[in-house]
Amino acid sequence: MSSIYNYTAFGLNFQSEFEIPEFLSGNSQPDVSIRIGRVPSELKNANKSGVSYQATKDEFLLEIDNIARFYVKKGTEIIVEPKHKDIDKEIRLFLLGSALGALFVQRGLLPIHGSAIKIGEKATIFSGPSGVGKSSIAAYFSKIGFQVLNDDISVIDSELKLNPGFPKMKIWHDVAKKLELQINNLSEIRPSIQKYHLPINSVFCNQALSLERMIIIQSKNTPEFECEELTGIKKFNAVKNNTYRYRFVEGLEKQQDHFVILNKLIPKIKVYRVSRPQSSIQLKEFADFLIKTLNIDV
Amino acid sequence: MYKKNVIWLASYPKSGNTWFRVFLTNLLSDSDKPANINDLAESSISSSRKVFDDYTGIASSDLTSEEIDKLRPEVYKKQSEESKDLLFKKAHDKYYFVDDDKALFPSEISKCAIYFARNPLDVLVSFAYHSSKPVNEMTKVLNDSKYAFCYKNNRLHNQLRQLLGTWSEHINSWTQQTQIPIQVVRYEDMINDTFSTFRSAVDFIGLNKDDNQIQDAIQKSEFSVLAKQEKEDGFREKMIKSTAFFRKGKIGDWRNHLDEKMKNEIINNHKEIMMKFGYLNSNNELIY
Repeated sequence: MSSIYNYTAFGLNFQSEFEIPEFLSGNSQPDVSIRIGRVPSELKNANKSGVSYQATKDEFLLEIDNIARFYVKKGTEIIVEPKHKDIDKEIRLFLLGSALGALFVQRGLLPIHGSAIKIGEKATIFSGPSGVGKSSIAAYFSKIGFQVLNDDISVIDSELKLNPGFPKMKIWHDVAKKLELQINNLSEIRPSIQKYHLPINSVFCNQALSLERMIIIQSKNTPEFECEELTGIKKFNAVKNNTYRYRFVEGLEKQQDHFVILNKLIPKIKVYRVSRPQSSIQLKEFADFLIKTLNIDV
Repeated sequence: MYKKNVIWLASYPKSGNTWFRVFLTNLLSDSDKPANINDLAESSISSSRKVFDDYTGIASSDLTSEEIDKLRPEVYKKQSEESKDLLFKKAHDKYYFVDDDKALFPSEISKCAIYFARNPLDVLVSFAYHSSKPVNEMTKVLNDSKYAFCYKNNRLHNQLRQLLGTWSEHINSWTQQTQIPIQVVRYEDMINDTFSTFRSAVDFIGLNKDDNQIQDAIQKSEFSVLAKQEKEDGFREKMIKSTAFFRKGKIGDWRNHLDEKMKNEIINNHKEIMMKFGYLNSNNELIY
């Protein structure tokens, strides 16, 4: 007899056949069911597919070599077919990443590639390309007293609320050192990668908030920080281009929904492009610059 | 099923690859003005993390370098499939196999490759300035069989890992493979015999361009134009600590920077290949 686990994350209730310790528990009627089972080996009539995924209007299939295959249907169902016997943290890593990303798109939500913190009574997303320091700066802000809503994927619903994810961040070894974290106490995301799950329960904001601003980080090869507020088409494109895996939107034929929610959201938020000096990120200097430039109350 | 529409622009660093990419951008552009050096396409970098993540649908930051390597050929195939035009892709990786019979750079989609070679003594000096490292440290780099970019697994690099090997291993890996037609273009010939060197490369790629178009693109890509653009607007491929990407670009600048010991260390390690590509004559004398 298998157990059933109920969770709440990203404003959705999940019912899972296996334990997802990253999530916070919940009790309500499930919006999404997660189970273990066989999944199709391929999708017929897949649209714009990628190297490791296929997508049709209602279905999404993701394959991670030697780990698992994930089948996501109509935004309500995820089936996981593990390559090995147990559901382990490696499987959950991809479940809580790309597979959830596809589920959000199927549900007509807007997933932004970025980590969000609470400033005042509203949310700010740090977005930008991988490796630019989104999680790092969010983790630094949590260290100086701000709450975190989520890491890596920030989900905005049709009411334009940013829903909290789950109380874990992924932090690389070098950043963990800068944050003066006790690395020995942290669990690696995978045995061969020195990136750790950082529990953030004590600074987790478990409350949906309106989005106030999005800070799109880029690195550049000059020594100073710079900030530019984006307007017009630049603002629109900057947000669109930082959608979590935009190619999923095309594959799942959700361009229309995506466009509508973007158009609703963009007049209501401020979007900044912030440049930081490339190479090793200076977290305190970066945070100080943002606090001063954006008049953030500390 | 596959289109042979990818042209690899391969080189060890600081060997003329970026110059040629600017030339190509000018050659393929309709504009009267020189192309902006900061508009070289992101999609044209083989080690782009963004392209990998977009096309696989997976975060490369959650994968090991070995897992990424196995998917990289598939990413290039997907890019090739979706591209209506020729795709020029810059690579600093050596040519190698990611699986028993699977090359990192798949021949099925490859039209050809251009390999940019340069006197390793000048590469050393230019690379040292580019990386803000002392020249004696760079000697080790050119001789290091395990040399790689972005290889550490304790931090997230902005690009995917690139294995380079020694200077000789790098050039050998590309020029001895037989899967992709390849032409070697020497930096020294790009400078000394500019028109016919670029003309020959354009013909090898199979672009239908006349002499005037090539001459025009060469002028728009002159070192002075690139250096001026960099001075005015910066160049995003420059490293933060280095003063300029387009620094001197001269042949034989090594004589101003290397002592006898450093020079011999390079020559002794790379003699065979330096001879093969015309950097040493049969009397072991340097040509440049």
